[in-house]
Amino acid sequence: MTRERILDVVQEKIGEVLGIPAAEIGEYADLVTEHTVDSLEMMEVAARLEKALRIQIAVDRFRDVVTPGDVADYLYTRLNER
Amino acid sequence: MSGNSRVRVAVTGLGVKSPAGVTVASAFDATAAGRGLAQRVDAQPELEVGPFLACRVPTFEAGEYFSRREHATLDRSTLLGVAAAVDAFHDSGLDSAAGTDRWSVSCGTGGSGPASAAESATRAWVRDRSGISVFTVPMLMPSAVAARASIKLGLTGPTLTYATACASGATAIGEAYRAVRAGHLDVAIAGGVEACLSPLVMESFRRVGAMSVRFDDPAGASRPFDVDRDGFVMAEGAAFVVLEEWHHAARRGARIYAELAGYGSNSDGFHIVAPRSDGAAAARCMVAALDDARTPAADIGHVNAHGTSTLRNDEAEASAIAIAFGSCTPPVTSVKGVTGHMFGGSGAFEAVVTALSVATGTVPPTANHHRQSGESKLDVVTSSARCLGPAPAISNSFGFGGHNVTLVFRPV
Repeated sequence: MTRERILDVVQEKIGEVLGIPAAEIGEYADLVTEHTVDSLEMMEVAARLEKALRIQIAVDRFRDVVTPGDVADYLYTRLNER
Repeated sequence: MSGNSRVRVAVTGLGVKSPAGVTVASAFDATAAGRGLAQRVDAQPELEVGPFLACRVPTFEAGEYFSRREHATLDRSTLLGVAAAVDAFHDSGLDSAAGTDRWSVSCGTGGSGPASAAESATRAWVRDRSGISVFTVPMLMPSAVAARASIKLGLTGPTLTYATACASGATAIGEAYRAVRAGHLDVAIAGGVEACLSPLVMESFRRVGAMSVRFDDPAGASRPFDVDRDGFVMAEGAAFVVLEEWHHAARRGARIYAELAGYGSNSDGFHIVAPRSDGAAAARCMVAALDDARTPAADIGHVNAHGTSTLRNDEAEASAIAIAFGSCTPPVTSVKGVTGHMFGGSGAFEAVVTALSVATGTVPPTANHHRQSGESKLDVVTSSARCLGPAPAISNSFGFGGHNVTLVFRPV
């Protein structure tokens, strides 16, 4: 799966949790300062990505991500380890 | 009646999200119209349950209370409960920004949050573990409704949750009243909620044998104190009141609907679902509430009964009222003929109706009541609303486990 396609999925899942269109979530948007995503919502995003991409995500890995691009980078690396 | 040192408690705000309506005015009108609102819920063959009868809360604009993002994280009991609490708060004219640690929120619930979350979580677990939302824990907490309301309104006083089964809403109001009376609080938003019209919960109540099975006449199924009653109709709903220390309300020129003047609370100490058939403990509860209100039984204009339409509750409550009031038993009504039984929400909804009845002098009728059973000779208000004029009134609530609660309201 390409990084571009992964980013689409990341933006879609964040959009689902925040109740806004994926198009409104920029690749470099700061999820905490721009979208006020809290820790619980971030865990929900991670759970939805696990399901969509059939991957296990370590909880602590998601504590440090800032932007959707960071999430996509991490997932791209993980998916290509297989 | 009131001594100079006695702290009085004003009812200054009301809010409901009930089967009878999602505004206080429409809900009171619907109870006064006296038509049953129960509808059939079809059987679900794949789960081997149903059919059932139930009263649902009509659709309302949730967007006025919650963002889409917030909405997605809330179960139905929180949705209804927080919306009703916000309505009551706004109705009181109070301003969140002025809130202090002496402004509280409390909610009674039988436990529909845990019931609904447990059901969905169980199903998701069986089929797909990843289907369990991270918001499951905040839904499982019985305290979620009160907590969400305190967050929504920015209130920083005590945030409390009470579970006394079907008396929970009345317990929350009564305990809040006591805290204001004792000088601990200036403002208390208190009420109750239940939203558990799920196959698991409905099937469980069916097995207890407490639910009406009058499927050929849903609107006539809930018939409190009627000889042909065959059980309650489950309902969902929420209601909240704002209680305020009298001078606090008067200083800001608040509209005062009524005075909450007395509270009684005790227990049957008898059985986990059945009431004591002689009504002895429930009668003592009513007497204690009247004593607390320093109001003689003869002054009470009407009783807003728990009146669930089950065989045992109505029989025991009729006995209890007869013991408590004797020869001066006032007219009795039960709005559950219209609304069905909102469990944890019912005591709070009936407190709202009783406060309005006390203020307006109008007592809603008991829908579907035609003839009393056995030896009870209550003056049941039937057919149409009765105009009694402003007078004090009591509202009874009883819960599985033997919880008895009576609230006394007095006109301003």
